[in-house]
Amino acid sequence: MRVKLKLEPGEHTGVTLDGKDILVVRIGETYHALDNKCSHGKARLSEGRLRGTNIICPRHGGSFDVTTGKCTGRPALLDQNTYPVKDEGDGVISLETA
Amino acid sequence: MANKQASPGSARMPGPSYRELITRDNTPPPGALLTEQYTFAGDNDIAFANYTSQDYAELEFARMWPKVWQWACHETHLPETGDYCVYDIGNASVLLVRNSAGAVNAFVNACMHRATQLKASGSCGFVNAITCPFHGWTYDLDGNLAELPHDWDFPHVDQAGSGLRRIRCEIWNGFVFVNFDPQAVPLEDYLEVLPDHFEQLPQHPREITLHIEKHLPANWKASQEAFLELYHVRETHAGGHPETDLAAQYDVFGKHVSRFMHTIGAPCPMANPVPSEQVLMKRLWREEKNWIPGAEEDDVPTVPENETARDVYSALLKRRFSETYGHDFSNVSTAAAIDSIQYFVFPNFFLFPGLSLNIAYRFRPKLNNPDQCLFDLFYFQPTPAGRSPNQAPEPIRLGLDDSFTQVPEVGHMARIFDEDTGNLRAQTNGFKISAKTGATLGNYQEIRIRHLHQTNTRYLSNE
Ligand code: FES
Ligand code: FES
Ligand SMILES: [Fe+2]
Repeated sequence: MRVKLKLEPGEHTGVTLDGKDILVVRIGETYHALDNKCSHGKARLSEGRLRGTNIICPRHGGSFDVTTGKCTGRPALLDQNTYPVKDEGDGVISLETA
Repeated sequence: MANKQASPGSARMPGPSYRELITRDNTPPPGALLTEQYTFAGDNDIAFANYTSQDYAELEFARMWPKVWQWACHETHLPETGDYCVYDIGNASVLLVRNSAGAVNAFVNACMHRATQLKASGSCGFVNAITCPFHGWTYDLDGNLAELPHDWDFPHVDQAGSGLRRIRCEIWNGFVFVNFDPQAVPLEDYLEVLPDHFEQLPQHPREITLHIEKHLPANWKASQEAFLELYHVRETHAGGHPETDLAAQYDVFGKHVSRFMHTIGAPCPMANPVPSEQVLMKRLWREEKNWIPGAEEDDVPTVPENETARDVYSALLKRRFSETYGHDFSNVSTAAAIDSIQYFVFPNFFLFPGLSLNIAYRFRPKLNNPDQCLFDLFYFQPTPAGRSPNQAPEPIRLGLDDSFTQVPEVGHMARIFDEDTGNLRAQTNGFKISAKTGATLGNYQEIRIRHLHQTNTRYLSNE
């Protein structure tokens, strides 16, 4: 699935694709995509803040490494699903949600 | 043997004093660096039980820690509304949050429902509101209880009176301090000479580039005492070589603040013959050049006739700093630019205000274990002109047996920190096996250690 999306390094945003709520983050030159709903209490991570490669959940402060989806901070315990992303250039990225 | 006739505490290392050396610099020191304040404060031993006894540690938790201003975090940990971080001391935990008006609030980090800790110990992050993970009681950034789920079941709860409990929180020079005592004197008063002295020292905006939290196998006081004196330098850092002694000055300013200062790049006061300025420059370059942006191994500067290595090196450092960070550092005195100047605020805050040596330390008991502590090490740099300071980085945590050399960012100081902390396990063992009952202190060079215990004792006896 191709989406028109351009982020600066360190930026992130939420997108809805195939009915899925997905967080897209750009770290340096690379885009990363993971479930936007926090594995802990379903808050939207896109409303949180990025610290290094960690996204901090705005509800209870759980955190996840956006490059791997791994849970890095309590009270969250479960990892986030991640999705393969490719930068197609010209402000277009492609995402595999299936 | 040394002269035992003179009044105790009046003897000094032979050779020129720190003050004499810095008055020869070509960019003169401010008054703050020329003041001297030493008074003999007795020569009794310091009881080892002050370090090893669990009862003594509990007394500190009951009477000292709840009464003092403690450095909790830096403003750059909380740049924006909703940013928070957690400061822990013993079994207490403080939640610091920046509110929508830009002020920093400090709260007891526990929910008003059934006390769940709201944010994890040692964590940092961002919230729109503070929501307890257990039943969702939600507080706004000023601590007011904004949402009580199923409030029909809590008719007996006064919502307005169930906000998070506040802790005193005041900021000096970017450093956020907390005090559990509602009756405490204002931070500015507690800091004694510090605000006045720092107005005379480099004043540029700063940001944190590195934070290490090192777990140490020793009491928090013993650990910081390894950093309060320079008597150890010859043996701990230089294999006993006598020409490595430093011209140093020790000051005790009041109940809370003490200081040492020592020269960088001046000859050892007892060196005979005195090395040439060019030889001193070579040493300086070998040991210190990493502070200078872009300095290369082979670029040892030449010291012109009638100038000193200190002045030439400091001028180069100031020029490179001005180019790199876009602030004008040309008026900074030689001493403030390159010397090791260390202020200490009781109980546990250390700050080096120099241009090259711009670092801070903090030591805290590890939970309530008298034999272990946490050592926080912070590196600062000037915030480059034209942008706001970077958010403070999260700490890199080093365990009991880890080395500072594992973190490349610590740079050439890593070996020194390993040496400084390398004696602590042996000293802690020694406290327990010694045939004596207390530590003997030098009258002058170890005065700040005596002062630390005297101030601590005043708090412990509720003075
Ligand atoms: S909802 Fe994300 S940490 Fe609880
Ligand atoms: S303990 Fe916090 S909401 Fe119940
Ligand atoms: Fe040292």
